[in-house]
Amino acid sequence: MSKFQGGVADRLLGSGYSGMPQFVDSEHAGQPGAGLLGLLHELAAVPVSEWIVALVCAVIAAIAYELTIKVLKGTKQVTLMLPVLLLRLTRLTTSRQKFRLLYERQWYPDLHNLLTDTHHTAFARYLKGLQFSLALVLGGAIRAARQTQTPAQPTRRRFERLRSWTVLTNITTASVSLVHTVAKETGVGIPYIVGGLGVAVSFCGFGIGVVIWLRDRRRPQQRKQQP
Amino acid sequence: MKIKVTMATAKVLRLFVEEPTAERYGWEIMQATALGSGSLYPILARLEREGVIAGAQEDIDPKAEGRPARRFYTITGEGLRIARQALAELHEITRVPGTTWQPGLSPQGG
Repeated sequence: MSKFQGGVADRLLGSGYSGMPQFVDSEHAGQPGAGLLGLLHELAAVPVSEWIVALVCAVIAAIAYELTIKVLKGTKQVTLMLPVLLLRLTRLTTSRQKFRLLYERQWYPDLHNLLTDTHHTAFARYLKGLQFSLALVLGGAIRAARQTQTPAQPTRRRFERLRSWTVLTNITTASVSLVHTVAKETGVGIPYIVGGLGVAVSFCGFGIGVVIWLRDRRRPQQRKQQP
Repeated sequence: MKIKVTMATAKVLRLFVEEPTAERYGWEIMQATALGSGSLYPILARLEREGVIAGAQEDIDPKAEGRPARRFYTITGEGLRIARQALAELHEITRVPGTTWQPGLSPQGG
């Protein structure tokens, strides 16, 4: 038996699966209690440097994926500056109707004004532009969309939630695929990243899903309490 | 009608109350209040939804101007009354007990 047989992929998908690299010592394979606990133990043993590489790969893969699929197409005629591209990522967290209202009428004109403001240096403008876009991408857009007058239909909201999951799954798949490809090229040690990355992103996705679900359950009760 | 006033909202309201007839757009408000985009736009959206401010798109030809039309905000008549009341209440809440404001006296006694 090879050194890496009986890894995470085996535990998650069954021992017959061989689509992902296997990286668990054969001594531990098949032992009782070597399920989730063993998996966490293995994840804890992954060196920090590999986690950093995995994280960087994930970020690059996620950005590249979203830029290619959703963003690049829409910004071709406007500008390809990174702050604008980043701002367009708010489309992922807002409905099309609200995105048109908020992005096209408010955010983009203001960002355009910021990026062409001659009172500051080009670098300062660029940094301010990035700050402007990131603040909206990392939650501001969602909060603004919630406060905006055009309420989404219930079915639409469900679809948006489903779409968020789809995006998350796509990012995970793209990240894992990219790292898997790199791992095949570079060899020993790298396979740890694949399992670690996949499981970590899946846990994050699950956690986010649970938080959204709990928040949605709590919200109607809060509305009832308000006079 | 009452509105929820946080410190960030108060900054925005004060800007509108100081000059009720002025038309202001997002980036201008951000510079004046030192609020980030992630805080400001939800506040503007909420205030507009509650009728405190009214938004209107700038009437320009984007191609001729070389920039997209901005969205300007002005405070409404009812909004001005609500904002003044809310700011006064906030001032009363945040005032240090036992102190009264006396014109011409600074905290250093000068």
